[in-house]
Amino acid sequence: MWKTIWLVLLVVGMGSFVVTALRVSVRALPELADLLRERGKDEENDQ
Amino acid sequence: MNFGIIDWGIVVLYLVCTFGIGILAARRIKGVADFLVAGRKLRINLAIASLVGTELGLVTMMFMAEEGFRNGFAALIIGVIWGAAYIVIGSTGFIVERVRRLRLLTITEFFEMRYSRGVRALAALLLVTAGTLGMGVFLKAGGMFVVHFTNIPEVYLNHTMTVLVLIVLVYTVMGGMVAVVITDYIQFIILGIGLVLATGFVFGHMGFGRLYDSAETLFAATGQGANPFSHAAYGWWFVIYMLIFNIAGCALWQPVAQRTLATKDPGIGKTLFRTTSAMFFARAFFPIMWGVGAAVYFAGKAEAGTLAATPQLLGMLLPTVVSGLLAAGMCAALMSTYDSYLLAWAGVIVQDLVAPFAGRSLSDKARVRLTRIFVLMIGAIMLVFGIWHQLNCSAYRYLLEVCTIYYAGGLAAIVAGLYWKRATTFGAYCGFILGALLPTLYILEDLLSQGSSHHVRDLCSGNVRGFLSFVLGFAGVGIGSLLPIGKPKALGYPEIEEK
Repeated sequence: MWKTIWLVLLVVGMGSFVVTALRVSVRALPELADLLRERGKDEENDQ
Repeated sequence: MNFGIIDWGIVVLYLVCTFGIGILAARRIKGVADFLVAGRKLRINLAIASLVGTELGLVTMMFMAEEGFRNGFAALIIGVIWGAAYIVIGSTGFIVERVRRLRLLTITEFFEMRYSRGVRALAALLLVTAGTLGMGVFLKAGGMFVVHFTNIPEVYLNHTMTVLVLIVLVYTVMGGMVAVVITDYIQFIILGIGLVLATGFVFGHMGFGRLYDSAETLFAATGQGANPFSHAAYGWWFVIYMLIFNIAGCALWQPVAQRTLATKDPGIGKTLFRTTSAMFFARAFFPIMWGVGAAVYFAGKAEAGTLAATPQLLGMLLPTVVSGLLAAGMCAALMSTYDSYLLAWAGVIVQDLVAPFAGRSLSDKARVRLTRIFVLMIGAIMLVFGIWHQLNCSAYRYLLEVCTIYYAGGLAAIVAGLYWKRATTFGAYCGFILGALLPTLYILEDLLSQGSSHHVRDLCSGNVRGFLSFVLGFAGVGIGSLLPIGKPKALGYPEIEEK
């Protein structure tokens, strides 16, 4: 019984990680660019 | 061992890039809000990547792998509880939603708002004590991985750790949270790839079915199977203790809370927890499977210690380039954890122990400078403690004890403070002190006797002791608040909208 339980949880858990990681990695890139761009604007305004 | 020149090249290239980012980010620091919470401009995906990047630390990998090595498949219950706690918080917004609305820089600020400056200082002291004690173990675990995975002679363990700590100190001191966010993102990607590949190689070498059956045979010899509820190291007490513990962690653990506080709005905070629950399942599942693989491969024997077995296995199984990628990811994870935690504890010291008592004379610039100084001091303490202290239990158990020092009273105080109007300052003091009592006695006995004395340990199991600590914390806040000592402060925060 526990073999099946752990196998299912492992597949679900690891699979969720892979899917979420891929999605987050791609979507975070423009957010990082925005964060740095906003800070660049802040620097220009200060100057 | 397959770790060669190419692998070292990958690791060095990564370290150089990380260092460069820290230098560049240093130019963009505005003030203490910038330094500590990236100016509260983190959006959801970057917040997730940054949180996971910090929490997917090498230390976590190592102690999860050690649990797998010692306890087999039953250890997977840890990941299940972790993920469940994040789902509970993410679905309900329990504690985190209200805290984010307060626009705090640290969680301990809440304790001054709701109770008094003294409670804030006590909370900060317990938090920093727990955090700093824990970081000594981080260093040991990190060192064991690097030495046994890359086959560096163990005599260079301390030198290796010193070099890594120095690199982390430089870019943390210079870059603050912006540097942390950027490097966390890169590390998130590299480590994610490394995790999947390493697990693929372990399963490819052994196969799940064969791994499970071999583990069952091996652990059956000690009477422990794959059922966590009947396992001597876990059981129902562990499940209850860990669920409460992890909920406390979501609300109180400064590196986690810093991401919550850094999000653009409270709604993103809840989503952050829901989405990262999958990460926290995997954070345990991947390394525990490596640990089980190591137990089967070495037939449960760990000549260099239970922490060393898994990196030794991975060093043997992974080919060149994959080893380099995993090593780079793990070094990145190590430094990511260090930089976030150094920043967290230094931030708490400055914001909660120094600034409230220095008055309004402490400028933003002075706070940033002080934070950097404390980062260096904590780094030095971490290095000395990590080299000197010998673990007398599993790394995971040790970390549970040190964190409970703060969590037990902290959870009671923050829950009562947010949801119970009658909670008083005296109650908060009682909660913190009573909650910290048992784990503090355990740690003190361990440190002072170097593991030779067991009086506190023999009183009850670690799981019962942990659960009782939370009970004492809540009892302290409850009973202390009901006593006619002091009056509760009104819950009049303009930022909180009562539902």
